[in-house]
Amino acid sequence: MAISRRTFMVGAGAGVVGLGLGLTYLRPREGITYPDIIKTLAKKISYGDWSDVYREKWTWDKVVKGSHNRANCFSACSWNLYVKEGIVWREEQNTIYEQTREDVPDFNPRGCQKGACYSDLQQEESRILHPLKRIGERGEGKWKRISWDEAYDIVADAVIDAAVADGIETVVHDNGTTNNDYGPDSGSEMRWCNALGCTQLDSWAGVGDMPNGLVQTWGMYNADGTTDDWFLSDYIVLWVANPTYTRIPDVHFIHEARYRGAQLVIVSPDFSASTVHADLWINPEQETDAAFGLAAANFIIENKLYDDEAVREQTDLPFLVREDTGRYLREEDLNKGGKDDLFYIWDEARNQIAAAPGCAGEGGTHLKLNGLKPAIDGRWEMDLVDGSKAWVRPLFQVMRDHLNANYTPEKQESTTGVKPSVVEHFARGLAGAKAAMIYSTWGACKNYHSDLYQRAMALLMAITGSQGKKGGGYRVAAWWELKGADELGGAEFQPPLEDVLKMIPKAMRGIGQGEFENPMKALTPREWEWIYTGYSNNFPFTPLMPFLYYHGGYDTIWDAEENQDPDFPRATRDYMKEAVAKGWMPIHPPPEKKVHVYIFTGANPLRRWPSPQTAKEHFWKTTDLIVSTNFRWSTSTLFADIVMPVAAYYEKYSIKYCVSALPYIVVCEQATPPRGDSKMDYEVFGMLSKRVVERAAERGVTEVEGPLGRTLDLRTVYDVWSMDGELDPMDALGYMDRILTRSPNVGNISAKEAFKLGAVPVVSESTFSLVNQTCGDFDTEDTMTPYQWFTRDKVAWPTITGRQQFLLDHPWFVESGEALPVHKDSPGMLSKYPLRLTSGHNRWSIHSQQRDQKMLLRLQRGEPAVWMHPKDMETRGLEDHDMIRMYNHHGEFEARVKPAARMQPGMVQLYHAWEPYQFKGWKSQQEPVAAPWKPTHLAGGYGQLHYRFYYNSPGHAPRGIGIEVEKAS
Amino acid sequence: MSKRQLAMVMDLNKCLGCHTCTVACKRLWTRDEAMEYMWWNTVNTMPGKGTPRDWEEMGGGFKDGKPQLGHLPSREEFGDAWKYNHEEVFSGGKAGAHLEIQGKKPEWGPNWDEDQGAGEYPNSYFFYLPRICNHCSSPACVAACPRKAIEKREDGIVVINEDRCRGYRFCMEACPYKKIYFNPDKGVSQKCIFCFPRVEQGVSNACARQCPGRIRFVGYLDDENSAVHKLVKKWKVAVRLHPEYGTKPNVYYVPPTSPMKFDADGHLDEKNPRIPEDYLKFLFGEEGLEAKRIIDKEMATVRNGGKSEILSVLIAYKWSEMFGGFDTDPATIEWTEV
Ligand code: SF4
Ligand code: SF4
Ligand code: SF4
Repeated sequence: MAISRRTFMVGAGAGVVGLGLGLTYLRPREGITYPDIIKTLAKKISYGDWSDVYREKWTWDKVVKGSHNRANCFSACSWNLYVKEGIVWREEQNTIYEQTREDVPDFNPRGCQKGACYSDLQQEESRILHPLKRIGERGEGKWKRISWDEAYDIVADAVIDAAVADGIETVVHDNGTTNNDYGPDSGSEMRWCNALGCTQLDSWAGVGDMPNGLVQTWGMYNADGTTDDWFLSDYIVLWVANPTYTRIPDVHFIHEARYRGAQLVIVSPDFSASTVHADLWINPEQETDAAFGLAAANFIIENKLYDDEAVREQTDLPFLVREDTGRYLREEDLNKGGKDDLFYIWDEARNQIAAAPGCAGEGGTHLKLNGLKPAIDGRWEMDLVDGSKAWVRPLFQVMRDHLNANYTPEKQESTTGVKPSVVEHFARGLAGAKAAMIYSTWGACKNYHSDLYQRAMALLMAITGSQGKKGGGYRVAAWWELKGADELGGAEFQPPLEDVLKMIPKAMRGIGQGEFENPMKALTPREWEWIYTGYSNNFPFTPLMPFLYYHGGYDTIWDAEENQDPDFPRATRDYMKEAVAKGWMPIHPPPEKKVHVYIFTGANPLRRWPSPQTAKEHFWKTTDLIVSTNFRWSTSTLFADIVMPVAAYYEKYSIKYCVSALPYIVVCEQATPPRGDSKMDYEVFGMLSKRVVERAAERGVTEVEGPLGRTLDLRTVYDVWSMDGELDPMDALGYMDRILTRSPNVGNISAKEAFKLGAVPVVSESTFSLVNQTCGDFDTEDTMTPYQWFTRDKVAWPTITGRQQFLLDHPWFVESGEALPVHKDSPGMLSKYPLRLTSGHNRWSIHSQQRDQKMLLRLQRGEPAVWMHPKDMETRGLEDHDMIRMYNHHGEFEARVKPAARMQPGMVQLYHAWEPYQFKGWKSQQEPVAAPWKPTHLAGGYGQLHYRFYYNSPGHAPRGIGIEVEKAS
Repeated sequence: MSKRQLAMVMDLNKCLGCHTCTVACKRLWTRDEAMEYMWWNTVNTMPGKGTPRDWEEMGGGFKDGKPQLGHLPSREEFGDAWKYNHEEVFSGGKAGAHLEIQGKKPEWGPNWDEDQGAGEYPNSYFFYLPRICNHCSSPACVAACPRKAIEKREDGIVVINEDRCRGYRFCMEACPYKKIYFNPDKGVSQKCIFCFPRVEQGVSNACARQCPGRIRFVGYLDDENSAVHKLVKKWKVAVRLHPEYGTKPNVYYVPPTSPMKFDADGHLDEKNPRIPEDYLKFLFGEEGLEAKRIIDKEMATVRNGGKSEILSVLIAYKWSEMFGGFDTDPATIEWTEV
């Protein structure tokens, strides 16, 4: 299996070829005009009575465009900040979005209730206003106010001490995914990390946001278009999804689609808020989604409701599979020295086998069949290279047998509780729709077997030919790139052009399609994936779960007998060790070294990591210095040694991360200066870089052990951060301008012009990037539809088979019985505790941010509360609003209980992200979460199964936890 | 009598229960300390006890033209502005005090029964009902006030004249929708003002203009071009909440549809929606059932490839057209001195 983890050589001096080609794509499209903002002059009306008090309330000194730029909500909304007497007095949405098409609703007035009161949050008690040093024990709450200089010195010295003692990798930086923007702040943090070469935690999967099932099936996972494209769907399935809570600005498109004839279907064990406006609710037993989905696929196939062309061209279902091994027929089976990634179909036109177009060993660029007619039925005998013979069949037939044997609508009923008639109704609706979509995004990765649900859903979308249709296909999420931000962030975000251009001779995507003017588009997602994987390997990125296993003390949980997965033949520890030994999973610093300095910026590990008691017991005891930058008190910040207060969102220049949901990029101007002593994160990490150099000089330290065995000269740190003095830590605005003027997809607009708009229209194509996988063409006059590169342009998918892949014949998948999509009982289902604790992103906060905001708490029960079915409460003698104790073998916590008819019996639902300090004894809902990861998520060495930053590593599964409940004493 | 009548239509098929409306109103009008417990805009999960608790059982309004006795809702029934111990938590240290509501533990709040709903699983159901003052055409509050402190403006907005109000609170008893609060500091009753300072400048209400669900239409009821006119008068798909209360509200609702039920054997019952007709009738009267029939019919039409003018208006392709001409963008306003 030679194909994966291919190290891309960072070459020098290859730029010449590129220049001639490279220029055209930098130009925005012609004819873009930005909307004019016309001012209305209004006279204050005065009646000279009580009513003037109200008129006076609604006045302001100035209006500034802003947003919640580093909040990790999956939206981007532009706001008008009404500034009065030096504070942002209130905010109201900026409503400048225009319809992309006449027949599709516009994006106004995107926003939510949290955004509508962020101005309140930044004035609350939770705001941190001064740099602080811990003087008591960790977490004791005893602090001393210090100056910024003192704070910088303490951190810089600790970094130097760590680097001298054990190398720079023992400094670990964690932005947790929680604190990313596309503006100066994240840019500065990335530059700090790159200048040092410190370890960076990759928490994407670690927080449970990685759709591993899609990585396995597609070789990518971040695919979506604009949300107005949802409006064009005819059959919208929300599956492990609750956008009414989580996508408040976007969900109107779904409800409006119903008014143009779409059906809205929810698959969820509980009657969720998103179910309120549905046409059909399907309520499988908790964690049995895969069985239900596979049964629907079975019905579609057996009733010939599938899209024949899509099956033959876009999936691996016509691929020949050996009956003796259950694996694909490969070239190495047939010829001496044959490839292990060249696969075959049976060509009905010529009645012989043929190499499958698009698979990795065939070149891996195009799916075009060029006259081939892949069979999906038949059985043939092959002469193998070793002289033996083997029967082969198209995977389609293998899949049919598998589904017929295990997942007919009748057979699934005993697992899911769903009637066969309901499966049939759903399958017919889905297959019969002009454009069917499934919405199931990162939040849908938090059950142990989520990847199996995703493979079943992907199978449904693939066989119905839904992918690539306007309003169709599996929707996850995606981003626009912002070239300026990526370029300034470092090579792992934006590889140098010359390296990209070197790949072009290999790539065929553009040929004959008039797309060659744009060299970035000539590359296929497969080449991009190679490039990014190569770059990722050059940096000490470490996925969170392996990090916690080796450095966090979590081996104490995950090696324990009770946390082994009985479906795997070996102990989970074996898989971790093998993955690390084979280089499938990177681990920095190496296991034998201890972490000296841990810096987290906005992340809230003691809220979010599984079993936080384990982190406190181990990692928090062994790490020398723990540093937090935040604008508010999080539980984790309360357990830090040094607290560096950063500016709140309306107090800085920023760019909200550029979700592809809307064809605009949201920028934020500083409305008021940072409160107290707080500073923009941009300045903090610039100044820290400088301090490291100064302290190193004072201490006479120069070269230390750098990342990945390289040498780090500490004298260079600030030069790298500042691009040899070009960047000034005091000039965030300058950096912001640099980003925007280098970003062709926003017309290289200046910051000043951008601030007038707040939301800057996207005007041209983005290239495939680390996180942008829209995989469709951008047109300013149309909705953005993902996957069209594959379905319309016939570009190969970035999998080893080049198709949406439903057989994973990696040895680990074979040995765990997951080579074909299956349903498996989760650890929670097998637990001896009768109830299952589940969760979900909640309506009232953005993760833990705003969880403690008084105004919003008053619109809830004011304290953490779980929903339970009334009968489950009755049998335990519980009454509405009782304090209950939830426990299992691993941990316990307390919260209040609400009876709700909408809950499936057996479920205990606590929407997430309450701060541990909101629970008695600061024991939160993560305490009973032992969260063993699934060994297959460590698999590598197989096409799409490989690690890179923000791609494919183990998730953690905080949902579906076996617990029991009793009244708290 | 007012010359014209401003009205609002709320499409319950689009409401998210997100409370952006509630928060928008609070940040604009009710942020003073004495007003902290007030929520001029509320959103409740229905069926439920709502805000104030069991308001539908509190009386008031008119029956056969006669004013009815009503209960004066207490601060506890509305839900108080709970206080917290943030300072103590942030300086108290590990596993010390945790963040809690201080003082007496509350038993109710403005959104206490959020997402609880009714029915028997799996035929559970609920929906969201946002409410503001209805700016009624026969306002019980006006009739009840001995000081004649409550006025109906020329544009139909009902306001409490705080110069005249002496805080007798008869209006709070009389209003059958229980949308009036008491300000103990000022000694006056206060309620939704239909954002008159905004409306006067051609800007629609904060709760409507900030609603991300895009459920709220605003305009003059007699303006034939306005969406409110079409939905209420022309097509009759938006109806009054509890018309039997007799106050002739000017907030109208498009009644909610709901997913099909399961029958006793777990099969789909394609004939019956989850929300029982009786309950819809309880809320919106016969007119509500009729409005829902029209919506159902229109939805069937579009599903079969047909066109529906009604549904096109409800979709609100162009958001600014929801506001019956009250579509000035407030951010474009620069105040000039008089
Ligand atoms: S009326 Fe609008 S803002 Fe209010 S809860 Fe409903 S959708 Fe949200
Ligand atoms: S809803 Fe109540 S307060 Fe408002 S006008 Fe009607 S009766 Fe008066
Ligand atoms: S109309 Fe204005 S005052 Fe009334 S509830 Fe809405 S935002 Fe509040």
